[in-house]
Amino acid sequence: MDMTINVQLLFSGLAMGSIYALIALGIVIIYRAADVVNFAQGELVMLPAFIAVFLLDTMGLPAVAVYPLVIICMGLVGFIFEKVAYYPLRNRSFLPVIISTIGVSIFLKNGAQYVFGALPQVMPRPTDVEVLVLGGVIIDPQYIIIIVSTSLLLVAQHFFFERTMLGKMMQATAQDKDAARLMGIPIARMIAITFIFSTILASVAGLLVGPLFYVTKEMGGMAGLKGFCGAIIGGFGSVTGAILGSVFLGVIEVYLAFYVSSAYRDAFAFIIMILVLLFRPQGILGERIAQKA
Amino acid sequence: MLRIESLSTFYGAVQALKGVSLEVRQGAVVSLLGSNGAGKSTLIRSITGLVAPRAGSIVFKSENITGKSTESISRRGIACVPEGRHIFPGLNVEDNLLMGTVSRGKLPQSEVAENLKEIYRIFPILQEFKKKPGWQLSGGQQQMLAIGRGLMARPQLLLLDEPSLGLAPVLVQEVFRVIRSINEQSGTTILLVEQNARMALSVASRAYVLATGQVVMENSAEKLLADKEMHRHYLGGGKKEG
Repeated sequence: MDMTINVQLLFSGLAMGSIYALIALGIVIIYRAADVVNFAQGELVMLPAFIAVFLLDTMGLPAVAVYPLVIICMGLVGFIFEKVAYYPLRNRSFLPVIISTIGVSIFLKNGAQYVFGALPQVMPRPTDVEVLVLGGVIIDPQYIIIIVSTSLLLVAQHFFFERTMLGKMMQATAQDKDAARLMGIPIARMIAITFIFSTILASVAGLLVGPLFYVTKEMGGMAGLKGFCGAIIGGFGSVTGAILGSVFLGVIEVYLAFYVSSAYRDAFAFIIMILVLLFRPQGILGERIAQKA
Repeated sequence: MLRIESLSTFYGAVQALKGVSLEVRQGAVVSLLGSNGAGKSTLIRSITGLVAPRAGSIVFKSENITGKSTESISRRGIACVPEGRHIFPGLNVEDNLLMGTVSRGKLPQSEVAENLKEIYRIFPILQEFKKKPGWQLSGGQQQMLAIGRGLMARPQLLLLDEPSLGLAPVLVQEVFRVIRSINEQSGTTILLVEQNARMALSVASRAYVLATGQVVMENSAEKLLADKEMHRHYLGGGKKEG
């Protein structure tokens, strides 16, 4: 009995950790490429969920069409986001850009409420299977969908950054902008692609998490913060760190909520983050100093 | 091939270049000498478009490239091995070299492989370490990588900014041997910025001496090597160095 519950908790933790990881990755990839922290990342999780509910419910489109459509729409949102909130301020210090991303966050929240209404909405599930029973362990199939989709996406992302010329050019831009420009790499375009990519990661998170909770304009706020926590716990700036930190956060949060107190579930995430900042500020995988030089 | 006329560049209110004029002929190795803060690197940064000059002109192959973007200047065939090497620390050696080809546009795989082989022939150590990330290389290896990356661009004009900086004397010899062979074998025009004047003059045919943002001397390398003034200020009296 005890074992079954622990396994169930593990799946739920891994699923939440995967969501945090997608958000954290988006934050870290933008941070590395443009040296700014995007405070609207959570809203880029909320918006696709609303768009998906609209297309699935109101328009009655099938899920196979809706998911790619939402991702394409969000890619466009990422492009506009970069052109409006980052590009005009690219030569300023990080502060104006951060303020501008906070502005975008407020705009998206209120824009979503204006367009989609203030009531919480329910996003239809992609599968009709209610529960999966694996050897006595009861698992929400959406957890499996989340874990598998995230893993596939991370593998694809790794392949993209390590094997393709475009991925390598994006890495080069993140590592040394002047050198990248000397090579003839169009860094403005690389940064725009980074924003689009990061927005797509967030929208996949939104599509995956949507069916688990109500879709509201506030859903992105906490998700964005948790992703940020995950990135800090893993070592801010490190891609692998963001993934590990987020998965760790998701799992430990679920266990603490179950065994200690579910009322303090969100508090645990921040307590862990504060402890990490106090005792190991470089995170689990502190960014190698040499890599910054 | 490259003609710079009365170039003035500012950093805020500070004037780093005060009307510099110089010329680099096709196929030549021209050296730019001077002490720290003389404006050598600023001149390189102005040519590559990393800083915008306020006055004067830079003409490359009879096209005015003053104020053009760094990306577009590199696509015109000017490659730069920047001061401090600036290799990509998170990319491995081979990927660093690949980045050098970006300015040439899309290339067939076979051509890239051929170019890589060529670089590995010049710097065998890079082949040995081709899967190592850039930050793990020693200073000398990073310098070879930076030069190799510059050569991958197959440039018509190669700008080398202090390639011997911080290298052990034996590596300095090696780097200059490579610079000479690049020029001799592929006919690449080279503008070489150096503090190591004796070494630079040994490979260059002509040199300019910069001090506080102005050209204070220019002549053939032979004449400068024999020049008294040059000896007192830049060649360390009569003593040998480097």
